[in-house]
Amino acid sequence: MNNFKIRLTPEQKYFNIPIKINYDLLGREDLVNEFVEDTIEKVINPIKDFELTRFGHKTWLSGDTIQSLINQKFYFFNREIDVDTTNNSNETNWLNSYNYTTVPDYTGQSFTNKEIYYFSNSFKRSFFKLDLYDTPDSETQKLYLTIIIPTQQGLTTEVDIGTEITPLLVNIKTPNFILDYIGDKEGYFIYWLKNQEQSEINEFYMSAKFFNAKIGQFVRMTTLPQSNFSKKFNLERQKYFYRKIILDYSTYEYEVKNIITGARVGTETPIKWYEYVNPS
Amino acid sequence: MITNKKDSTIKIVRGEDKFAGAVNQDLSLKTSLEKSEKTLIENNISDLINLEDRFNTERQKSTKFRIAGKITNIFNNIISGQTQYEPFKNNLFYTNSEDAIGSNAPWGGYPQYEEFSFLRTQGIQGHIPFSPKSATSYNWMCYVSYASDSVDDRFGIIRFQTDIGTITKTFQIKKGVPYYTKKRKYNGKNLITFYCGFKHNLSVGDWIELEIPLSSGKKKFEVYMIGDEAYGNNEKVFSIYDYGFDSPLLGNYATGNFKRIIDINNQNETTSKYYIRKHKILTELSNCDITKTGFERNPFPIKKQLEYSGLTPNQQQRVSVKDGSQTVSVSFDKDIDINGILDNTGKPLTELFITIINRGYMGWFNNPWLGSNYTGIQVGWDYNFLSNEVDQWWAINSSYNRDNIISLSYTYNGEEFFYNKEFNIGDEILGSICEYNDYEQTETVLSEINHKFSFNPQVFDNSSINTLPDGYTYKPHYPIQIRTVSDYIETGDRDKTDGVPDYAFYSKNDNQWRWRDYYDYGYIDTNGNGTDIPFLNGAHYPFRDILFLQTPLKRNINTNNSIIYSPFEDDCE
Repeated sequence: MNNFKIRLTPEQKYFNIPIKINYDLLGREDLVNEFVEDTIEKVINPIKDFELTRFGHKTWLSGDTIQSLINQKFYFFNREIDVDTTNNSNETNWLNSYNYTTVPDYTGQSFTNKEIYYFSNSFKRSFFKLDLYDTPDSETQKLYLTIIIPTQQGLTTEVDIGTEITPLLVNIKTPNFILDYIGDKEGYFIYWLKNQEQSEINEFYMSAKFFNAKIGQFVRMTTLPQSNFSKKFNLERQKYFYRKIILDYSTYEYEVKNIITGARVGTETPIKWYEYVNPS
Repeated sequence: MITNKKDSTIKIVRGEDKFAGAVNQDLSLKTSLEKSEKTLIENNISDLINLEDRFNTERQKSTKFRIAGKITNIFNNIISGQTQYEPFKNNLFYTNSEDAIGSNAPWGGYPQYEEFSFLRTQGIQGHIPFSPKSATSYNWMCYVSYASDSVDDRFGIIRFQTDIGTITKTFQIKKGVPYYTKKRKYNGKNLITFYCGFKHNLSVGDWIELEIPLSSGKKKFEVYMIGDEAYGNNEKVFSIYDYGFDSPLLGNYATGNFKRIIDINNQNETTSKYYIRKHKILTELSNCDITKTGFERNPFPIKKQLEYSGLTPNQQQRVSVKDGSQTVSVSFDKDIDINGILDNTGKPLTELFITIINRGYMGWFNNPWLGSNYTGIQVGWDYNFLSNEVDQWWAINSSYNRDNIISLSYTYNGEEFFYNKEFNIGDEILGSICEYNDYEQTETVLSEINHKFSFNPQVFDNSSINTLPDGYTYKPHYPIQIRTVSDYIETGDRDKTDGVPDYAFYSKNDNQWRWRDYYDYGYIDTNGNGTDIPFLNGAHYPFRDILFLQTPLKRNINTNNSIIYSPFEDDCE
């Protein structure tokens, strides 16, 4: 504490103590600083956590065994009859094979057994593309994720690529994918935002396409063969082109559902995709 | 007294004007400058924002860590044996298939490399069902842990390999560093050289305090020399001057324990403490993701052989793999928030650990010895290895080498198989032997912990001693530096506690607080100390490259070198 001594002259009757009288409560500056910090946080972009994490397929029971695999099967139309003339009995015209037609006009877009076995460029550069949207409504949907399943994966089947005189039995790939934590696993995991605050989406709608490197075109896939419909080319898109994927953030797992029935697929019931054939 | 009353007018009256007879005198006013208010400065507040500052602010504020690493599995599959359990028998890497086919001799060989890998690709035919989801947790369990506590009353047994044979010393960790002594001469001077069981952490000029005083009562000695002239012995060997001590406690091959003292004039505060760290688990087994690392492999060859159908007990042809070169990446999907977590010395964390524990779910290992113990894994430290024999420390019926790693079992095909139970968050297991010095404010690791997992002789017999079954050892804890403390010590006066951290040590001798500052994230000092961990998404992303060695039980890491000269290095190196 300081002492001030003031000497007065006889003429001086009073004096002013020049102490500023506009007061400011202590701590206000701290509050101002806090306000500045707070304002800066609002003005600039706050920290957003865009870290991705891995979602594996939700486990399911096969008898007494816990399974984690997901089964996706793709079927191609064999063109033996016009798709317009197909009916319910023609579902078998969609084959689970890359070598799906012998009709001369279309063999150019199918693959021969030798092309498949020897992994020709046109075969190994073809792939299945699964697109995950926020809604099945094609007018408003946004594409959030893409999963690629290469043709080098998949189960095999035995075929003969020899001659009539010298048969040669080999195993070739089929578009029947059993994906799991080990073995074929490309396309098994979904990598999506770890922090749900960045995106509240935990449901996706998945469509499938096959990109054919042999002809440089892609075909769309439906969830039921066109033979099941009376109007072959006017399918209700929201129902028959998508599967629903539900992410579980508590376990970082996902499951796939049939949109129409709501039943889980990809388990003992495979996720089946059928080639959508355009009107000729 | 001036008050806060606004526009106050104070009238000063001379003494003679107050009343008759009053005298004039000097007056003074006391104006207090202690106020609860201050002048209001009205101005515009401007604050410059730049990206670098904002990044740094957010980085320093964040206490969230996302741990990742790479594990290079270095392993040489050298223990072969025999098994009567059919699925295991059908799964060996055979060493005597021709004999076994011809003479009905038992089938012998090595377990497959799969039993030691971090990512199994298949199970064992005829044995328990294989779940691909658990492919990364059949053999090993990976966690994040931190050093949370310590224990100092455990006993250790060290076997010194000396010129006259093995000398055994039992000691309590808190008693300090174990040693044996030898008298020798250096440049004509008589020295008593101490050969320590583990790192002594001494410097010339430090003092040691023996556990047992000489008959004269003397028990503190100044360190005269570090090492014994031979190359590479500095960490474990030192000498004191021999003034003619005739006590057997300092004679040839005498054993004991000592503690380090930095300042002989301030012994109370500068004497080190010795203890074993305890690690607390921060994650669950399911938080760990292990995947293959692209094309990376370790440089050692893969050893495979084709087991012809005619040369297998079940007539099935297959390829068997004895040695592999697997490298995997590991990450944890749980964020580690270190806010409020203190380590075993009571300070904010500077290290997290990736902790790897053997699980052995396929059942080849971890028999907890006839039920008298409940743990299948034995723990020991770097000093528990001998070069020419297996240290008895690792005996499966010992009670000294146990830790909180519970062995469980299941029965399949009529056989009992053992495996180690997974940990829960908060479980504690032992770590390295450390020294802590309050005055220095430094913890030093003296001897790292090792785990031994042994073959279960009931399902895989390699004719080893029942109480000392063969197996492999590995180090369970791999530190990840997340912060660094300064290499200098801050001091603060007793009364000026502002700015002194909670963890500071108060030296009564110096009447000062002592502590080490924590460097900011991203700051590297001139000596290269500091951490510069990638920061994004509001979290730090530390990474640890782990060389995971699975080693046999005989190792020469404790033999003292007798080569005097250091290796020659030319200008190219």
